[in-house]
Amino acid sequence: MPRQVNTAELDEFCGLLFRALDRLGGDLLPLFLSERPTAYEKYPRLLLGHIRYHDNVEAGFEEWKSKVLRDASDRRKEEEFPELLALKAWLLEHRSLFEGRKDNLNHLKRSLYARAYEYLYPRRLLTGAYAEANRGNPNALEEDAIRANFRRVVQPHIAKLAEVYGQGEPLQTIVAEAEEFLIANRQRYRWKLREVETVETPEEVAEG
Amino acid sequence: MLWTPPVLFNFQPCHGFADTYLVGNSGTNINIILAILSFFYARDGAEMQSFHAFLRRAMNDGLLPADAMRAVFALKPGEDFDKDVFTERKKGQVIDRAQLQEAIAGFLANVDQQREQGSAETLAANLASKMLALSTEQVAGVLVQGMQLGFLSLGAIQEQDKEEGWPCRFCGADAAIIVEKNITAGFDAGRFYNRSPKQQPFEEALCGRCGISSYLITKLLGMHSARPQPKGKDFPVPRQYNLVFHYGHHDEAGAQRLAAMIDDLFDLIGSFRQRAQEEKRFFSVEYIREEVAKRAAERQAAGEVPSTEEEAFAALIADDAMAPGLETLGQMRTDVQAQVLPLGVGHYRLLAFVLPQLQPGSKEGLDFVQRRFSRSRLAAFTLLALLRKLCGCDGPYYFQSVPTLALGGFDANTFYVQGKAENAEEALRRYNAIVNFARRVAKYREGHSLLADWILLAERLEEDPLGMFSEVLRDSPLRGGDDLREARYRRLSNEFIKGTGVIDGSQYLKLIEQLKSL
Repeated sequence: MPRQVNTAELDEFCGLLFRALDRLGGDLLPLFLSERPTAYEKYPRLLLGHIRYHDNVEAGFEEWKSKVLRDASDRRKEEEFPELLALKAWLLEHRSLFEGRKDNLNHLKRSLYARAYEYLYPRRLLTGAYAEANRGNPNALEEDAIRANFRRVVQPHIAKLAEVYGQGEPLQTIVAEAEEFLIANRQRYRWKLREVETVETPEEVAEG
Repeated sequence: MLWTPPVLFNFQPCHGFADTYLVGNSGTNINIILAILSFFYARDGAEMQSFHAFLRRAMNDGLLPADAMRAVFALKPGEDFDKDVFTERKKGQVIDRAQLQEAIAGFLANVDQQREQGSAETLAANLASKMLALSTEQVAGVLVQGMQLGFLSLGAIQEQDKEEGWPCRFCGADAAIIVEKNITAGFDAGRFYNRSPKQQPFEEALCGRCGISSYLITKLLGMHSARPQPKGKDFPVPRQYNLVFHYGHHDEAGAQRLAAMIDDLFDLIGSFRQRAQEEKRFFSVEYIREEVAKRAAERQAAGEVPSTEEEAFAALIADDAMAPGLETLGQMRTDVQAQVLPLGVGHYRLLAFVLPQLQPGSKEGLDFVQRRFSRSRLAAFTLLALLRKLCGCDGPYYFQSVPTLALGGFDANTFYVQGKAENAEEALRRYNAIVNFARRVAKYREGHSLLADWILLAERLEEDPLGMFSEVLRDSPLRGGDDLREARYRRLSNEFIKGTGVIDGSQYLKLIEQLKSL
C-alpha cells in the first residue's frame, strides 16, 4: 500500500536546502532565472542521489558536502558554513524521512524544479529588477546604496508578490533574503550586467 | 417464446394512421407504406427485405384482396404479379391510390378478424419472435423491482420467480434475457467483457429492465449512424448524452426557463466559436472574454446601455470558477439540443439535464473525450458548478449517481459524482485552481480535443501536484529564447520581466500556493 509522503517536512527541508545553497554562492543556484531547469535542480538532485545511493543520510550528506564546498564561492563558503551544519543537523534529526523512504525521495526528485522555482523566482525577480533598474550606474550596487534604495526601487514587484503571499512574514523574508543576496553578490551582478551590455551594444549599433 | 397479444392492440392507432392518412395522401412514398406494413406483418426477415415477397404471401394467405392488388398495380388479365412487374410499376409510380387504400382497408379488416381469433403470433411472426418472453405482469414486475414511492416499496420479485442465466451486462443484478444489439448496447455490443468468453455468440446479455430502459431512452433521445473510430465503419447506435440530475425548488416554467438559458448559452458560445474560426484565432473562454469586453466598450462609447442578458452573460464569463464549465459546454455537439426535463410534482422537482455528448477531435474515437470527461470527477464538478450557477439554487446535483430520497430529505449544497458526495463549495474551492490552470496551459494538438488534454492534466495535477507542476514548468516556454512550437504547454503570461529574461511568473507562484493548501 502506498505511503503518504511527508509534504510538510519535505517543504521545510527544501527551504533549508535552497537557503544554504543560495548563501554559499558560486553557481549552486542560478543567478539568472533564464537558466535551464537543470541549473535549478543540479545540487539538490545530487544530494538526493547520494542519500539514496548510500541509503544513509550522514554518508550521503558528507559526500555531497565535499562537492558543494568545491563549487561554492571561496569567500562565502567559510562565512556560510553554519548553514551547511544546520542542514546536516536537520537531516540527521529527520533521517527517517529519507532512509528506506524511496517514496519521499522520488516525490522530492519529481517536484524539485517547482520547489526551486518557487524559492528562486521571487528572490531573483527582486534582485534582477534592482540591477536592471540601475544598469550603467555601478554606484547603485554599493552596499549602502542597496540598503538605502532596494525596497523603494523594487516596490512594484514587491506589490505584485504581495498579491501571492500577502503582506505577512513570508513576503518580508523573501525581500530581506533578496536584499542580502544582492549585497553578497553585487560584484557578480555588476560583472554580469557589463557582459550583457557588451553583447547588446553591437546589435544596437547595427540597428542604428 | 411467449408473446403478449396486448402489444398488437397497442398498435391499433397505427392502422388508422396508415389507412386514413398515409395511403390517402398521394404525396406519401409507396415505400413508406409498404415498409410499415411489412415491418409489423412480415413472417421473417426475407419478407421484411422484400415488399414483393410480403405482398405475394399476404395475397396467397387471403389477407390482402388479390383483385384489389391487381388493380393497384394495373395488371392486365392473365398478367402474373411477379417481382419484375412489381418493381417496374412501383418505380414508375403506376399505382392506383384509391385501390391501394381499399386493398389496405381490406387487409386490416382481415388482420383484425384473425387477431381476435387469437392468431396474432402467426400474423406478425417476425415481430413476435423479437418480443420479450414475459407477460405484461412480469414486465411490470421487472420494471418496478426495488423501486420506492417515498417510503413505499413498489415491489420485489420473489426468489422463485427470478430468471436464471448470466447476469445483465449493464447492471449485473438481474438475469440477462435480451440479446444485445448496437441499437440498445451501443458500440460495445458483441465486444469482449469478462463474461463473454463463457457465452455463446449473440447470447442474451441484458436484463429486462436495462433493455427496456435502453429502448425507451433511445426512443426519447434518438439514434444515429456513427463510427466508433475515425477509420471504422458506421453502426446504428443510440445518441449519447450527459445526464445530470438535480433536486431543486423549480416549477415547470422554471425548468423551461433553465432549458432556454442553456440553449442561449450554447448559441452564444457557438457564435463566438464561429467568429474565432473566421478570424483564425484560438477559441477559448479568454477569447470570449476579450470579445465581450470589446463589445461592451463599443456600446459604452456609443452611449448604449447593455441589456440585462448581456450583463448576466458578461458576469458569467468573467467568473473564473465558471470558465472550465463553459469551455466544456463549448465542446459539446451543436447538432443536438439540450433538454431539461422536470420530473415529479410539488415545490421540489427532480430536474434531468440532458446535455449533448462531447465532440472528439478528428483523430480521436467518437466517445474518447466523453469517456475521459465521465471518468474525471474534477471535470464533472466544473460542469455541475456551471449548472448550479445557472439554476441559482443550492439543491444537490447528481452525475453518474442515482438520485435517492433518504430519511431526513437530501443534502443541499452537495455534488454527487460517481456515487460519492462532495460539498459543492469545498469541491469548487479545491479543484477550481487546478482545473483552471490545466485549462490555460494545455496546448492544442492537431486532430485532438483540447478538453481531453486539460482534463487529463488536471487529474494528474490533483494526483501529484508539485511533481506534475514541475513537469509543466519544465516544458513551458518561460525563457526568452524558448521555441513556442516545441514546448508541450502554453505559458500563462506573455509579459517578460526586464532584467530576468523570463516571463512574469506570479501566476505560477499563485498556483503553487494554492496547491499547497489542497
